[in-house]
Amino acid sequence: MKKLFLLPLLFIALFANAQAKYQAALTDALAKMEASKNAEEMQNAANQLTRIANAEPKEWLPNYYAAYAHINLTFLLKDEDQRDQTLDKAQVFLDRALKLQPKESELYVLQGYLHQARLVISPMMRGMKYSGLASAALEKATQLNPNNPRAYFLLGQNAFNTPKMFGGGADAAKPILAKAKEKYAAYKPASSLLPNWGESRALALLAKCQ
Amino acid sequence: MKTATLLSLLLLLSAFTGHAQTQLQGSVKDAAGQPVIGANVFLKGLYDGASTDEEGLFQFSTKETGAQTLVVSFLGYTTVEKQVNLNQEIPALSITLKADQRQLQAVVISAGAFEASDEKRSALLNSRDIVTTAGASADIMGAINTLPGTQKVGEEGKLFVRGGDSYETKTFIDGLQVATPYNSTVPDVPSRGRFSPFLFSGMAFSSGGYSAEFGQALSSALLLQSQDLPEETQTGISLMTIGGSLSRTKRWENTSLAVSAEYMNLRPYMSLVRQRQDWKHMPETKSGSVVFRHKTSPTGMLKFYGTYANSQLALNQQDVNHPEGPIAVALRNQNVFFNSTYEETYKEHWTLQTGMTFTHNQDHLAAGETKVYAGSNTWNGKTVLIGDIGHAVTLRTGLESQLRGYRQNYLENPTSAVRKGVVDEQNVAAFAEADVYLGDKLVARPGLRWERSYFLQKNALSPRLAVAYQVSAEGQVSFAYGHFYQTPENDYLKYHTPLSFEKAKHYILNYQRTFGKRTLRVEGYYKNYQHLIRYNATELKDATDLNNGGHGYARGVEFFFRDQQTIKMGDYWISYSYLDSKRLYKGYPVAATPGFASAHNLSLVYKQMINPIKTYVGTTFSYTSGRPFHNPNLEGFQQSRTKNLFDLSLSASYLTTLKGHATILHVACNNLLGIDNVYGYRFAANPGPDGQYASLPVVPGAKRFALVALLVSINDAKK
Repeated sequence: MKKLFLLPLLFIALFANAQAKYQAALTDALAKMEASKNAEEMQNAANQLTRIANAEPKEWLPNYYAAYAHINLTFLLKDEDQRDQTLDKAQVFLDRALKLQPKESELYVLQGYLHQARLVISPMMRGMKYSGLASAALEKATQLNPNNPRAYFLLGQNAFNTPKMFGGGADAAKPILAKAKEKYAAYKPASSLLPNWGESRALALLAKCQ
Repeated sequence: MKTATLLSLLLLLSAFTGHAQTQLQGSVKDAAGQPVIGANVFLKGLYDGASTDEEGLFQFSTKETGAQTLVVSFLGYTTVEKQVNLNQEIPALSITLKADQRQLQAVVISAGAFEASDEKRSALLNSRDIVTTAGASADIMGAINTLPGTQKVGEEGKLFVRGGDSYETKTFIDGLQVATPYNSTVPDVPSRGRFSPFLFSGMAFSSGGYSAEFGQALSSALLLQSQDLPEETQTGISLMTIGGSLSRTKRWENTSLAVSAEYMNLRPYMSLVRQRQDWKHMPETKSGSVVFRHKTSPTGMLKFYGTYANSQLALNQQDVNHPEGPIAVALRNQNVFFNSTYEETYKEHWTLQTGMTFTHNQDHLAAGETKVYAGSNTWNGKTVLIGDIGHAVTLRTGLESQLRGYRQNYLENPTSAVRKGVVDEQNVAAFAEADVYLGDKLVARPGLRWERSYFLQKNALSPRLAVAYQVSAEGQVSFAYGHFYQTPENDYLKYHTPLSFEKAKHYILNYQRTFGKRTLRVEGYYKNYQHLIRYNATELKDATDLNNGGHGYARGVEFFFRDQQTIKMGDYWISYSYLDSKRLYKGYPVAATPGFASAHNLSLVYKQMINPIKTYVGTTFSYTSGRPFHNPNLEGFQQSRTKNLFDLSLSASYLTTLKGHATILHVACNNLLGIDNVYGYRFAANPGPDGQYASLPVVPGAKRFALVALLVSINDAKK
């Protein structure tokens, strides 16, 4: 009889082992991403996250981070075609994550972030389209989770970078970023692996609006 | 006992980390032997892996055993997979990555092709450029007329490309041919394109040598790419001095629906600004449209566009053959257009595009005692399959069919009998073409198109070839060649005389250099026409013989320079076309330069954003050298030239908000300087009592055209 009790324990142990391995790998890769100072380091971190995402096709978080790292990478790259192709890659990971977790607010934040990354490659030509796409994704993120600070941060950033004549600028961004600050202060991620970025950048941008 | 075994098994699992490790190391290089930095090297399905360093070297260890797959991938290269056996010692690996030419796209075919896109930075124009080009009056064709390869023909308003008549240019929406791209009009009242530039996210204007995917156009193809899902739910209001429109766009997650209604009436404007023509019913159009989009999957898209337009106009026109007084001319038009397409990508490498269009067009024309009814129904269907084969070949292949019914009733005067013209045509076509990348710097696009016209009972086989070679980091040379066939116009087919396809051959050589945000293009071409329609009288109705005996040529050099860099927030382009063309066609007695084929065309377009006053200003200067015309009072044929034609147009858009909604106040004026341009002359059919043929100049309806518009978009998201 006893072994019947132990059998589930065995599975739990097996599972826990895999979970621990996955968490350790992800923690390690995220630390590398945080520490990246140039395109090479960010590429390495993105590669590592890609490996985890590919090995864990049922987990949305590694796909989320693989997309996030690739988006971050584009801000460090110079070649515009390469940036666009890197964003294509990020979109693939993001689509996979969205399939696994279609109601996750953070994924819509990331979609907005990706649109913003497209925009900055050629603001004159893409401004209109991608600022609209970004705000639509970010609005969706706030609907799914009204307390997601990153959604407000990026909405504020969108407003900040929109020309004044189209209703943007520092004055328009300020109240949104103030809201982001509030939400960041109240935000406590349920686990250390959940998205927890953007606060310092939001505060820096808010300071610019003063 | 057994419990103990299980427990030890658990312990063993936790102690799994203590297992033996296998080292993997090696180098990754590209085809040229250069190290690839940042490549991802890993075991398939596992975390174990590493990135290559500055020397292209990698090293990592794994606790896995047995047969595994090593994957090496990097952006712009084809991924390599390699089997490894981890039970053995693995010697240093040497891996070569091959560039994926499709992803790199270092070299593109630019001969004859002008691309406008909101997405691609390589495009030379985007759809906003169309709307903001002064003098174009937000008309797609008007903006295209500022590009090299076009000859301005003010009284027509249509596209005339490289010595070709307007019917030689065809318009395609999402790959499907549009039967009636222009609105209906009467002689000397210029037409406009039927479609708003806001419907499209990209356009490609090809002045020759285009893909085997497109046929039934001797000179040129204008390809319009419709918008995908609109970004937001919004309401649009536009108020203009010549009418207004109202639209409502609703966006759901994967679906959108837009409905719009438009009413145009030139009466208030034309009553205010003196017109040269004696208008009885100033141009009036009522129209409505529906745009539906549905994303069927992450890569699938279903599109539907439908529009209905009803327009009319009437005026008294001077006729040189009718000295008793002007002739009353009236036109009523009804047009229904549907376009529906579906696109889906399978297994990342195969894309299927399929679509259908339907056009119903009805013209009721009255000129004096003559009454003409012309009606047509056109169905177009097309299926295209695009596949990536290997790492350097993209194949496009497809089938196309057009069904067309045309009816014309011609009543010369109330007592004459009705003459009926009937044309029922079916055209089928099949094509295949491939983009073949031969190394990093060379791409070739061979293609073949087969067409059959059931009305003509003829087949045509058109070979096409385009090649592009990158000569330096910034410059590339392209060449294009092809055979192009077109079924003669309904006006000739209705006589049911045995006819054949008209034919043109293109040879194009192009050099393009892109440096920063500047582009320089120089293109030379030669075009040879065969089997053009010819008849043995000045007017077709007097002819007794109609055949394919015509021929001709066109050759020229074109120059284009665009600079978006030198002037801050400013942008300008210069385009110049030189054309030498002669043809023997229609009722020409000898080969001559047609009236639309002006030798020199120059456009200077300049746009500037002036931030302090939130205004976007555009100006366009255009010059067209004297246009040929035939003066029967002189020796020879098409021997005369009009004066040079000039135009200076200005437009300004003031960007603001109205009660918090984005608003644009737009003003535009054509021919600011009020130059008296004469497009040509019309001569009497018979000489007067003094033995001279009388003439009347063909001139614009008014010296200038001015427009004021207020555009408001009310966005639901930003209340």
